[in-house]
Amino acid sequence: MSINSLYFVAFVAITCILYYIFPKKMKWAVLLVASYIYYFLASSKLIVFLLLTTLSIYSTALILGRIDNKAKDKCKEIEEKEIKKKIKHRAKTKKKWVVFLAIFVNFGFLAFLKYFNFIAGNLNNLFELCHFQIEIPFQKFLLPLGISYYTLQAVSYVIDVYRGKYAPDKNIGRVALFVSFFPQIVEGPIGRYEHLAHQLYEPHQFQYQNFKFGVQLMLWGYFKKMVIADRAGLFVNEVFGHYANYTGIVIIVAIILYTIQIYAEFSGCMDIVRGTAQTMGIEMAENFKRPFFSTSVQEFWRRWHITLGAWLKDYIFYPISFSKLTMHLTNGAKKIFRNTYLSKLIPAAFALFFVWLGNGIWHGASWKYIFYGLYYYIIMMIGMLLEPLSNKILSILKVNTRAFSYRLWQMIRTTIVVFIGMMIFRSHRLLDAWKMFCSIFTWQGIGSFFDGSLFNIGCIPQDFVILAIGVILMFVVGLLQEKGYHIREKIAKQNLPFRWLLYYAVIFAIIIFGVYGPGYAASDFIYGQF
Amino acid sequence: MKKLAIVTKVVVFFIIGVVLFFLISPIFVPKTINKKNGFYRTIIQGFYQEPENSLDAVFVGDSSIYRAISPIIMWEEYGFTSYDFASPAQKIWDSYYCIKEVFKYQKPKIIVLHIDAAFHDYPMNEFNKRHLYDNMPTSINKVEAIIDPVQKNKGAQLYDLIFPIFRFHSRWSELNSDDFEYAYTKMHYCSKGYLLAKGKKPYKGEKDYMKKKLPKNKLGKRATEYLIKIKELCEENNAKLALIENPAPNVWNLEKNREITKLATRYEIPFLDLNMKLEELGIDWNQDTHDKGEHMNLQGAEKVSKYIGKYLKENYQLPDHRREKKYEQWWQDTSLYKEKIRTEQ
Repeated sequence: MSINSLYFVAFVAITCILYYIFPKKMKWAVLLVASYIYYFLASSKLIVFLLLTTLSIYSTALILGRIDNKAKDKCKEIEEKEIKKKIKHRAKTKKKWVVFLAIFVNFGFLAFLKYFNFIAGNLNNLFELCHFQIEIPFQKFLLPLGISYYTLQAVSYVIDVYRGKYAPDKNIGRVALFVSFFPQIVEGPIGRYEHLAHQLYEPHQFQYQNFKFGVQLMLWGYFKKMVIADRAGLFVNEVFGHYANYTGIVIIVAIILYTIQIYAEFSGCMDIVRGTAQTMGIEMAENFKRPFFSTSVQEFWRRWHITLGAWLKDYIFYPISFSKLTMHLTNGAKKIFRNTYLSKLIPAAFALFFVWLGNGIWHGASWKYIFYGLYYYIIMMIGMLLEPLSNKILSILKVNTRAFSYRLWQMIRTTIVVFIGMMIFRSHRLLDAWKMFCSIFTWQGIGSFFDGSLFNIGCIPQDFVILAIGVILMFVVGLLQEKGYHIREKIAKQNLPFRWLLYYAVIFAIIIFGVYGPGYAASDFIYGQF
Repeated sequence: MKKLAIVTKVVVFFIIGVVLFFLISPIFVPKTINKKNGFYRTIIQGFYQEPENSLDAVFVGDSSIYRAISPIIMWEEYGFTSYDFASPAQKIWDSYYCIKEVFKYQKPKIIVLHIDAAFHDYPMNEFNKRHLYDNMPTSINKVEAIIDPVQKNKGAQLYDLIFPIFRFHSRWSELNSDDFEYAYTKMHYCSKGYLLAKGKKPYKGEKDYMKKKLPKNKLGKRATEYLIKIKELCEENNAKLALIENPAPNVWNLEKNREITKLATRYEIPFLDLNMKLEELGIDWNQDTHDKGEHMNLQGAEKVSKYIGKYLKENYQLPDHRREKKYEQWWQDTSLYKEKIRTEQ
């Protein structure tokens, strides 16, 4: 049941009606049953993995709580500080092992199912290189729906309990719902327990505004996904699929359109997910905040796939930054570089390396994804390394860094970096990305722009008109949001005929101009495969 | 009060949306209204333009009906009114739903069903389904026909047959004036469902084709079930049912004839196999077919129509309306039909 199918819309409508019909105490159960039905319809017996993850994190959290309580009880009976310390230390070690086991099991499922063939392939290459007569056979594993998303979400819960951020939840229903809530399970956002679990469990009364705003957000999401993203995909699929046939301007247009496609698609999906939840009074974390208004790559990643970035920051960056190894590295750097900029940069660079490696690996089992993560790491490191120098140049040249023109330059610069990143991301292999990148500089194919043949690649010229209108619309909406306008609230203040005309216009634009059905080959959500 | 206002608002919004949806949808459905695209829309929609309860006989079935039976010839010769409510490769269950549709608007004395499809137990392909159902007005009967498991419509095909805009929305860039003009206009069809073919491509197969072997000689299980349902439906609506097989040297043989005769005898349904009456009909396979024996051409259709007209007139006491004022339109249609024959290539 794809999120852009009529079945999904019907499924949401039925769940929403049942949610409001059922008594307060049962509302959470409606969501849980709906989520499991949704998951079962999509993944059938692979639901076992979801159940295992749920049970493992639920029981781990309870064990962690029990270890804590036992240690506390023991400490109450003892007055000697040294013994108390020992008990606490022992409890901490125990907890560490328990949480490690839970993380190992859950990431183990993910790693085994998602990365087995990648690891096996690389090992086989290595064995061949060393002339070993060993070959690990490839396996055909089916990946449970959304495993990359729900695993991160589930693991964050046990780590937070381990860290003592909140007490373990004794209600298995609440934990199960937190892990499996159906709108978010395919593509996130990667929710946090403290923000989401209680919202999902607590009953929400029907509020017209919530319902209306939720539906509006869903419509906007469908528009972005079906009218803009999938239309851009017609051109993108053709060029990336046969990149050797194209050069210069065609490749550039394909890269730009792919960036538009993935943004419209992923942010569109998030709008559908958040809109669906909002119809039932549940507010989900935002995953996108107009990333193309970013003035640096760091800012871009604070605005793009926000919940993944936040997860990597909380569960990779911080633990590594505060690890003993990093402490040693900091001290070492201080000894060599004294208290200079470089001595501060080295430990950050060390921790960030794992963040971006993690980002790359999470996106897929391929070197291209690893390189994709490290590409951003290298760009950031270069930026950070050259920051003092660039600041100096800017002050010598008396550049007004607050001027719009400078900010615009920064945005363009960031966007170009993102374009290259997206090219790596979309290419089949790293080598293809490199070849495509090189072919840009042949500067050929400009004629195709003027003779119109460019507009017939994978689509028809009229598709470009619709695409242009869609992108302008998306840009205007983004700009208004950036300026602090609450568009849905503004619309709500308009007169009824205007509002309804607008709603019908969007609905029929999706129905008519949406790229779906046998007339087109509707593409799946790109981020759903991770 | 506030709750009531919200519910009212939602309901009104929904109703307007549905109305708009059904207004916009027909624009996108391909208009098969000319020789290039076929006249499938014209055949189906023309049926609904016939005045209510004005038809004495209705012919239902596949292309063998609309290529071989000309209601205008039967009108001229015998004075009864009829219509070919047929579509390409129509199956027996599709015929069942078509006949249900017939009884909604007409009270014919006889339904004539082309029976070759009884040997088919698989559904039509999507295009042929669309030639029939996209041109049928939306109704519970149409939805029942589409969702009937026998059609094997699954997933998106199920709902985009009910709501064709989901199938044809990608035509937005190729819409022309015909799409808008004929979106809401139901066309009156002077030929009464008959589809003219003037060309000649002789049948060069065995002369005594009834003796040849064919790969599919077994009656379809589901087709037979629906044939029984058709019989019951006709009885409920006080109409007679007759089975017919038009001359079809490529797909018909003696074994099929026997199978149908057995079935017809068992359920007491008259069966007329024109393949057994070729001499009486005077069929000349060098002259009377336009596609090597698959279908009749105009000349062949005239022979078949006259024969069937006589058969129906004699066996079912169909009335003669030729002098009735109420049926003047049929004379106008006759003129248009003749003009069409004269002008069409």
